[in-house]
Formats: sequence, C-alpha cells, structure tokens
Amino acid sequence: MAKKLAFDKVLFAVVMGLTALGLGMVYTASGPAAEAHGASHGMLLRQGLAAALGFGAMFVMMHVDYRVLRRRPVVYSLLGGTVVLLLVVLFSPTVNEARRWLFVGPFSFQPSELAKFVLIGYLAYQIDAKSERAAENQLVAAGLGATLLLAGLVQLEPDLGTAILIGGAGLMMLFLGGLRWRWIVGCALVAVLVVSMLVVAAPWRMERIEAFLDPSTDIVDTGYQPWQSLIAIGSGGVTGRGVGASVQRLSYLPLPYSDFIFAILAEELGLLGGVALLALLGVLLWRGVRAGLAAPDRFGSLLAFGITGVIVLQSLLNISVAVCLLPTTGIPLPFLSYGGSSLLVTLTASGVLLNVSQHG
Amino acid sequence: MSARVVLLVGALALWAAAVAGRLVQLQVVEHGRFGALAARQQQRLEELAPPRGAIFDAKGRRLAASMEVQSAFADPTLPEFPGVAPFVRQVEKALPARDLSGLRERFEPGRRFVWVARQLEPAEAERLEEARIPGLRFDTESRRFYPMGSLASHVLGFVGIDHVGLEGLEYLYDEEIRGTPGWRRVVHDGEGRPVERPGAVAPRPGADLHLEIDAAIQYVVERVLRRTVREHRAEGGSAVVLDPRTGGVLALASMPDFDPGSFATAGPDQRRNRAVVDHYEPGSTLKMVTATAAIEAGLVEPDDRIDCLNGAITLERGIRIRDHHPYGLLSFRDVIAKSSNVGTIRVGLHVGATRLHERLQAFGFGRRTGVDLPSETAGLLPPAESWREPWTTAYISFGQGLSATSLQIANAFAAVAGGGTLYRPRVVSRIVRRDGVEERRPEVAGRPLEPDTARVVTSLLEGVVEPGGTATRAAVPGHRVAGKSGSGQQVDLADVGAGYSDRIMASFVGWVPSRDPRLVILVAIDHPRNGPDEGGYVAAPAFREMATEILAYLGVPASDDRLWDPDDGAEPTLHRVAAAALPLGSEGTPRPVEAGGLPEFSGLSARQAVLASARLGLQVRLHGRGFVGRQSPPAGTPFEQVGPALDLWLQEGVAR
Repeated sequence: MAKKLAFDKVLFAVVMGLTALGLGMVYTASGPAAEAHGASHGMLLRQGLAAALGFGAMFVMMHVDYRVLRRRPVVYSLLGGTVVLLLVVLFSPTVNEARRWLFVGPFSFQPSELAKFVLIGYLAYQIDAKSERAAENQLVAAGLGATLLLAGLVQLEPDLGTAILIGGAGLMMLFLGGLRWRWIVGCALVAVLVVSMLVVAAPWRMERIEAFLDPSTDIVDTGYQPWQSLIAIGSGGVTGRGVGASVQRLSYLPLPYSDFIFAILAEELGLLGGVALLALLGVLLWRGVRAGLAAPDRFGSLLAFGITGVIVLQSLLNISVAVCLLPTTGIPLPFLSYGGSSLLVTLTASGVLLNVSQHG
Repeated sequence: MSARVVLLVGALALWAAAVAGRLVQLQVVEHGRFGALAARQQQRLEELAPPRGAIFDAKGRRLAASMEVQSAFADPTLPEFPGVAPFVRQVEKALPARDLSGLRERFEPGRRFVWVARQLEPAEAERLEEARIPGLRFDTESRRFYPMGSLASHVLGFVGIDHVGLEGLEYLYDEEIRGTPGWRRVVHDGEGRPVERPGAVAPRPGADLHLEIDAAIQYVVERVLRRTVREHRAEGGSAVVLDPRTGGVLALASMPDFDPGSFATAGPDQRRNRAVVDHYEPGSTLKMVTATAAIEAGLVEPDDRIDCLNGAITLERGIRIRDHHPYGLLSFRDVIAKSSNVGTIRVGLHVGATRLHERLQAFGFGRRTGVDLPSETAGLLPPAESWREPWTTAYISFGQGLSATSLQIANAFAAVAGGGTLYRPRVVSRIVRRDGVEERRPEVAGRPLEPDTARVVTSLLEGVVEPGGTATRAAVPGHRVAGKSGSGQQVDLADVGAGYSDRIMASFVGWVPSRDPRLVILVAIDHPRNGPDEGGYVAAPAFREMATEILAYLGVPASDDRLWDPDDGAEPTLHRVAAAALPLGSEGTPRPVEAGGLPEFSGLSARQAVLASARLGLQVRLHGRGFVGRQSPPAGTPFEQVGPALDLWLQEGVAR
C-alpha cells in the first residue's frame, strides 16, 4: 500500500482538548481557592503526572499496531492479569467503605478502570474469532461469561456504577457483534433485574433512588450532593459565573473535583460550556465511529466502536447524574474527573483508537 | 454491523440531546430559581452600624462618644462547635468577671446565630480571642461611652444595647445622632467564611450635638446638689442653671443620679429627670408672679403699706391662713422680703383670679416650656373658671394649689431677670451634620412683663437676700442677688384626701448679678428631713455656693463692693474652680481621688501631665523622661495646701 498511514488529527485534537479541559477543571475545582475546603494540596500536580503518563502510553499505543491486541496470548494475559488485579484489590485497604484501589508506593490504581477496556478488547477478539451466526452459543458463553466475571468482581468491591458500565460495555460489544435481538433484550432484562435486586438489597442505594426521584425532599442528607449539583448548574446560567468563579466548590458541593466535576464546569462556563463539552463528545463519537467504519478488519472496527462507545456512554452516564436525569452512580467523567487511573487508562485506549484511525 | 452502529450512534446522540435539553431547562428556564437558591445559601447581607454622633458640652468637651468594640457570637451549626455545655464552660473560663447567666438558654435548636457577649472590653475581647474557642466568632459593634461618668446623666440619657437611644438627648435626638446603617453583601463558603464582598453601601454617621450645658458648671451644680441632698437627708433634688440672656440651659441636674454607661443597674428613681418631670406646688417662689401682676396693674407700689393682720387671715368658711411670724404693717417690699403669706394674699385677692391666672399663663405655667428634653411635664394650673373665690385665688397667690416643674419656675424667673422676655429653654445649641451645621437660635416664648415692671420686681427680690429677708444665706460675695425662697407644701399623692402632708419642697431661685444677670439658678430639695426645712435655710446656701464658683469660673468680675460676711468665709480659690472644670477620670486626664483635692497623675504622658496641670492652674516641674510615676504633693492633698508648682518624676515605658 502506497497510502501513507496517518492517524486522525481531529480525533487527536479532541482527545488533547478534553484532557486539557480536564486539567483546567481539576485545577479550578481543587486549586488554591478550594484548598481551604477539603481539596488536598497538589491535586493538579498528581493529575498532570497522570496525564503525562497517559500521553506516554497513548503515543506508545498509537505506534503499536492494534492487531497485536488480537494475538491470543496478549488477549488472555490482559484478561487474566485484570482478573488477578480485581481479585487482589479485594484484599486492599478500605477507602470510603470500598476496596477499589491498589496501592504501590505513593501511587494508587483502580483495576476496575482497566477492566472495561480489557473487556472491549477481549470481546472484539471473541466476536472476530467466531463467524457470524454459526457459533453464537459459544460467543454468548464466552462473551457473557467474561462480562459477568469482570462486572461481578467489580461489584464485590463494591462499585455498582462501574459494574453497570462494564455490563453495558459488554452488551454493547455483543450488540455490535451481531448478537440476536432476543439475546440482547434478554440480557438487558436480566441485567435490569439483577441491578434492581442489588439496589433494593442495599438501603443507601434505595435512598439514592428516592433522592433522585425528588431531589428537593432530601437536600440535607443523601440528596444533598445532587441538589447542590443542580444549584451549581442552574446558577451558572447561559454564560456561567466565569473561569475560577465557582462558589459551589467551596464546601457546598462535596468533592467537586470528582464525580460531579461537570456541575462545576456548568457553573463556571454555563450552558455554553456544557453544550461545548457535549459537542466535543459528539466529535469524538463521530470520528471514532468513522475510524471503526474505515478499519481494515472486523477486530479493528469493533475495537474502535467499543472504545468510542464506552467513553461516550460513560460521559453521558456521568453528566446525566449531574443534571439529575439518573440517580447517583459514582462513576467519573472521562478525561475530566480527578483520578489518575481513569485518565491513564482512557488516554491509553485513545491511543489504540488513534492507531485504528490510521487506516481511515 | 453498520446498521447496528447507526442505531448505537443514534441512541447516544438522542441521549446527548436529552442532556442538552435538560441543561437548557436548568440553566435558561429555571436559572432564576436556581440563582436565587444559590444566592440564598451563598450570600448574606450584613448590616454596617453607623457611628453614633458624639455629644459635646459648650466648651467642646466630650460628654458622650461611640467606640467600635468587639462582640462575640456563636454559630452552633459549625462542624467545629463542641456542643453547648463545653462551649459555655470555655467561655465562662475566659470571661470569669462577666455575667453569662442565660447564655445556655439562648442556644435554641436550629439557631445559627447566638450572641455570647456583646460590647466586650478590649481586655475581654483579647482573652476570648486567645482562648480560641471553636465555634466562636466576633463582630464589630459600636458602644456608647460617657467619658465623664454620671455627669449630666439625666440630660444625656442612655442608649440601649441595640444602639437605640432610650432616654434624655440620646432618645430625643436619636434619629439625628443614630445615623443610617449601611449594608454589605458577603458571598461566603459552605461554612460561612467570607469569600468576597461584591457590594456595600457605607453607613452614614450620625450628627454631633453641641450643648449649652457646660461640663464645669454642671459639675459644680451636681457636686453641691448631691451634698445638699445628703446633708438634709432629703429624698432627692433638682437644680437648673439658665442663661437669662438666651434661654440656654447651662446645667440641669437631678439627684439621685446614675451612670449612663451602666444604666441597667439604676432604678427608676435614679433615672428620673426630676428637673423636668417632677411637678410640685412651688410655694412662696411664686409670690414673684403675684407681685408682678399687682405692680404691672398699678395696684401696689413697693413702699405701700399693707396690714398683715398680725399673722392670720380668715377666708370664707373659716379657713385661716397664717404667717410664720406675725406681722403688722409692712411695706410691700417687706411683704416679699419676709415672705408674708397674709400680705401676699391681700394683694393677690386685689389682683383677682382672672388677672392672676393670665399672668401665670404668661409666665409659662400650666404648659410645657418646650425644652428639648423628653418627658417634660406641664404642671397643673387650674383654669380660672374653676377657681373658687376667694380661697383658690388666695392659695395660688402664694404658690399653693398649682404645680410646676423646676425648669418652669427657673424659666419664669429668667424672664424677670432678662427684663421681660420669656425664652424657650434650650439644651442643644448646635447640630453638626455631615452636610451642614444647624445653629439653634434663642427662641422667644413670650413677654410676660414690661421692662419697667421687671426692674421693680428685681428690686423687690433683692430684698429677699438682703439682711431682714428670708434668704440671706443666698448672698454671693461681691455680687447682688435677686431671688425668692420657697417652702412648698406637698400633697401626698398616695393619700390626696388627707390634704397637705409634712412633705416640703424647699427651694431657692434667683439670679446674679441682679442688675446684669448672667445666671439664673434654681435649687429645689425634695423633703429635707434634717432640721429646718425652709427653702431659705436648705436651698439658699446651695445657690450661694453654686453661684460663687460658677461666677469665678466664668470670670465675672465683682459687681458690688459691699462687704458681706458669708457664714463659712471661704473665698473660692482658683484651684477649686479649675478642678471643677476637670470633672474627669477619662483618658489622658489625672484620676480624681475619693477625698477630693489634687488628682492622681501617675501613668500620664509628660504632655498630658503638663496640659492637665495648666488647666488646674499649677506650674509643673518634670524630672526624667517617659510617663509619670511619682508626684509631689501626693494625690488627695487639698488644693489650698498645694504650692504654686507640682513636681512629677517620670519613668520610661509605663503608660497606664
């Protein structure tokens, strides 16, 4: 092929833009003004370090042919390694009543962040390996098995939000892989049933649902965070309060740099900022799907669709929680929320996506 | 696969569109509501208290002033708040001298703001701040100070804890001197700490009041009145000093008094401004009005002879009125000088109810003088139609059967002293506002008598103080005095039916110098219980002492060469008068000592000491540098024994 291989510049720009926006938002939400209000010193520094590492990993993945990921040993060692990490994390110290972090020296890592992209790679491999309809039963067994295994392990931490996201990612891959509708619908119904049981079984989750259904009735307790998020977003108006002018980050909205960072963005940058973020995600979706459609093979397509889909899906889930369209789930906003694991893994996956885009 | 990709993309796009719609709803449609909710939790309006205007005496001495002080409050909703009981314990430990009873009860559930201790002394505020009690916050408030203590307390009044004047000038001129509060908008974080102050309206300071009252004169009057009340075991007393040329109130005092800085501990008896609130039957002082009416009507001349019927007159229905001493024929001059009731009644009956009533009204009786002090009473002047001839007229002609306040009586005498012009008495001479100065001009309230009549009445009243008169004890060395004593019998208000009780209001009212009046002074002693209770015995010496010292203070040269032989023979010394000008214990002045005499200089700076010595009429020799440590002669030495110079030894670094 004489064609010169070049990754998608627009996609690259969107990834860089989202990361830069994320660093800015972490700074304003945790910076000097917020330090007196529970934000620990040097959050921006840690996030910047994670971004630097992430960019490194992204550039590596951009230059490693994605087809390496289709090799059986690579697929299984990634899956196996992830499972081991998810098992090890169950014996890690408890933080906020959950065991989600592996601690290595001064660093910590969330294996569940890795799990969703590993699952996408694994399912892309499985779907690519089985022919269209013939081996559906095998596909269902392998695909659902891996999805349930990873989601189940994450739920043991416990981390229902990420477990749901992993389940959704798996179902999305199987759907794209051509699994028949009845399977898809059946799996979705079972998933809804399981999640409902988990919610009913845990009182705090039930409270979150009740607080979601009417946020103004419980604004001091469980509903406090979503209610303060609404106040932040609503008071931002069309143009926002201005960069660095959020008041809600000052001991009103708890952990403003974390899962509810979108509320601070919407307070400071207003409707324009919020819609701009949605537009960036839209461009990401468009260019990611475009890369998938142009990929030279089925594995590459599925990889591109999966990575793009899970980033957009997670973003929409997170923002929907911030605007109170969904109950509180506790998943971060990709690229924006404070958290090194999320940023590192998302940038690495973006590297894979950009590598696929070279073939467009 | 591409169909399913389109489906997936479509679903995600729809979802994003739903989120965007939600954002429009929250940030455009409901922006107002959420903006208000945000403002409600993020902002508060803080009132900025305006500085209350000061009150100055006629010489610019500060009588009342406001200072910014710290007040402490608690926010029990703060996370660091340790709970009511431990909190109160810590506050009590830091403020052992303060009464904190009731603090515990103020912590009602749900309150975010509880006053802990308001208007702290600087030392208290420092201790509280050092104690670092969690949940305790401070706010700046203004506090009223009265640098001269209880001086002129009834005139000044006082200010409540919420900066509202409650009595006296503080009450009457509250709107002028209170100022207008300002506001400050504060954006605060979730724990109430201020983040920014986006807007403020500065408070407008209140106006300053300048008074006709002279603190030095007021001090003399209060000192003499206090001692007179005590010596005669009287229930109380009042004194008024007026400038007959302008109606200015130079001093106005009531006893017992109080410290307006701690008014809450004073009882109603102490707080009452007797000089304008209490009205009583004046007694013989009002014979002045009868004499004025008779002379102006041409009914009598000073040298006309009047038969005083050997001391008793019988009116209708067998009512007999007696004199203290039986007199036969007396000149009208002597009727007044010796205060014969019988002689006055005979003249009064000749004047008649109508003319006497008219004259009393002209002198301002039966209505308020209009002085700028609150709660003034009008006294009782029965309408002429209700007078029963002849005996109501008889009683009223010697000052019984009607009531008046000390200020009314003093003001009526001021009209005679001033040659016939009745002024509206005036306490405030000047209101200094931020946008200009309002001068209060003398205000004429009437002309109750002709100047010629005033001259004749003056000569009659001079006789009262001269040998043979009832009030020789009012005589002032070096000046002629015109005046009248009174011993008004009072009806016990608890038992009106019983008629007059043994309660006497012993008074003297007069002016000096009699032909060039500078001062009208009234002294009224309520119910003296120690020895004789006549005004000429009880009140006249107080008049004399006040007049002597005030004239010296004002530098009025002697106007009469005739030698007097005053009972105590004490010539006022310049030192005593100068000390009167310093009735202070305030910052930068020597502290007075209990026994009187030379005050305590220690702790003053060299400059303050020199200034204070100069005001005391003393030269000073300074030794060393810094602040005064030792002095010679020591504090408490009577001024008479203090030589021309005072020695002060300074040492460095011991300011008080």
